[in-house]
Amino acid sequence: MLPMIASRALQALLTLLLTSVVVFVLARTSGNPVDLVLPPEATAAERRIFIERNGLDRPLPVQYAVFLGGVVQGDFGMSIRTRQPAVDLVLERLPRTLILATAGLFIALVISVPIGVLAAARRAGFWDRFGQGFALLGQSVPAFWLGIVLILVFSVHLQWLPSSGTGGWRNYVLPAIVLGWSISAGVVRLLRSSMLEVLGTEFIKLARAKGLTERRVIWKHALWNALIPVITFIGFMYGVIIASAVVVEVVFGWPGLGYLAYESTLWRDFPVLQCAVLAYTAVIVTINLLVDICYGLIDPRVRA
Amino acid sequence: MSLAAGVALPPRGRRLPWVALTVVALTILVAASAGWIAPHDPEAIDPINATLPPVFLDGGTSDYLLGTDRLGRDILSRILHGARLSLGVAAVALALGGSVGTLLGLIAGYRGGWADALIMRLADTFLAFPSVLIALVLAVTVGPGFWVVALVLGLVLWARFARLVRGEVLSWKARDFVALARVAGAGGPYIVLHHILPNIVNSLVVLCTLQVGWAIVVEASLTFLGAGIPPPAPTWGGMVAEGLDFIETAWWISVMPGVAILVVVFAFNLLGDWLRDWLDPQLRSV
Repeated sequence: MLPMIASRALQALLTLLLTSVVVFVLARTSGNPVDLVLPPEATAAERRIFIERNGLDRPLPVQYAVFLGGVVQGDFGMSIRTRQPAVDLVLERLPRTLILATAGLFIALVISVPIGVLAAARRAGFWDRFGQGFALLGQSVPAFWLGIVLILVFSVHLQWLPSSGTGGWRNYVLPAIVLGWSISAGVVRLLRSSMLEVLGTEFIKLARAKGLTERRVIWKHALWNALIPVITFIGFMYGVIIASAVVVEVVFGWPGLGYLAYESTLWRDFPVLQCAVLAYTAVIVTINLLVDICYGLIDPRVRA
Repeated sequence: MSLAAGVALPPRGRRLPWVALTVVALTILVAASAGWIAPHDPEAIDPINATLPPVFLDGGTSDYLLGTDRLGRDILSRILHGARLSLGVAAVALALGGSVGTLLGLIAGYRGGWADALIMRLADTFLAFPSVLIALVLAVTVGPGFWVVALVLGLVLWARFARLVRGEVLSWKARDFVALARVAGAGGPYIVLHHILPNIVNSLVVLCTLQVGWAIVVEASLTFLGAGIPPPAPTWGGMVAEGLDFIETAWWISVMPGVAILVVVFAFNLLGDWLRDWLDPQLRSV
């Protein structure tokens, strides 16, 4: 168990490091923040002071070393636009994105677990075809467009739910549904095939032979075993949800990490964009790591 | 050759997916001939005819079947031209990611050892990459554009291909005919190209078809965020973004291109599913 955790942790660290190198090199080699942040009438001296203060004149590897040294101490530099520490801006936004993503994951499971189970239990029947259609549609409808259509129907026409901003629970409904939608197709497919596999095993035959009701066999004995691959998939799905969150936050004007990354991109605010991308990656690899560890605890077979 | 050998007849009881096939064929045709069949210039601005509704709503005219956007550009023409860009990006991304991924997957699967470990760790890393964010960074630094989007998609796609191909190679490598070829004196590259690769072609066709839809959706999402193909090019994602601020008064600007994405991606996915059941029943995981 311990070596497995250690190797996974190392992998997570590598992913983070690679992301930081890629983002850093891309951002520093071609963008020119000086022209974007300073007004066009800024003097050459003002430009030079700006470049020196932000360390933009030093060699790239040195800039990266300085950056990495700072990161280890929790210093991601100052926002070029607002002059606040980048890490503060990111940490302020992060919880809102995490809450939204978790709500999306919850909605995805609530929608797709029953569909996946019924599709497997009534194989080749109505629910199976419904599940296949649902999964196909789920893969084919882009999240940003679904968000716009939902705003059109529920905010503009019916006026049931707000179209943007934060506030009460009503603000969560539409963005969480759109986020959940982006992974529901995957869950339905995975759970269906996992259920079919479990339903073919000996212990299900035994459970049926014991005279248990079909409902109990499917929803208790089979479902709990079929959920194991779904749980391992949650780390991956959380990553997908968090990535879709950028688009969904822009559509719904949700002031989370994705919206911050989008804004920083428009402003070429390096430190904030870097910090946001690294925070995103850190969340994704941490969740993957936790899921791997939980999987080891749940299923003794994978403890190698 | 394996397409002919492994495929005799479509599975019994499964009809050809005519609707999906027709839509896919039509999309390719439209993408190829958008310049001839589009009724208007997709970038021609016409303020007099701005924000016209589609023909089936009050105030619509048959000159502009799907209406016009706020600059008076014909939405139908822009959707038809958008097909060219969407399919173009998907094709380039698949060519890039597919060839690199297949090559690395073949090496990882056949060589094993440290090459396998290195390539698969790298693939895992790229799969965990927040590609949307990398695209945002690239859009600012390199500047958004057709090739940048194709590259971002390719960065994710190669890892998917490498994983699939590696797994397939491992299972084919264990077969007797590969051992026989080795006994007969065939070298590694020869065996991989002549004995293993032809058996994988079916799976590659299925994966390609299924990834076209993914590529179209991600390209549209990136363009929607301003990190894809920049305006005024007629792109489906860009058109949806342009209509976002007018959703209350002119919903068709955003909704129409979204319907195009939905229909085309749905058709590709349906075709891909059908191909998978037909060509490669074992390949359930992609």
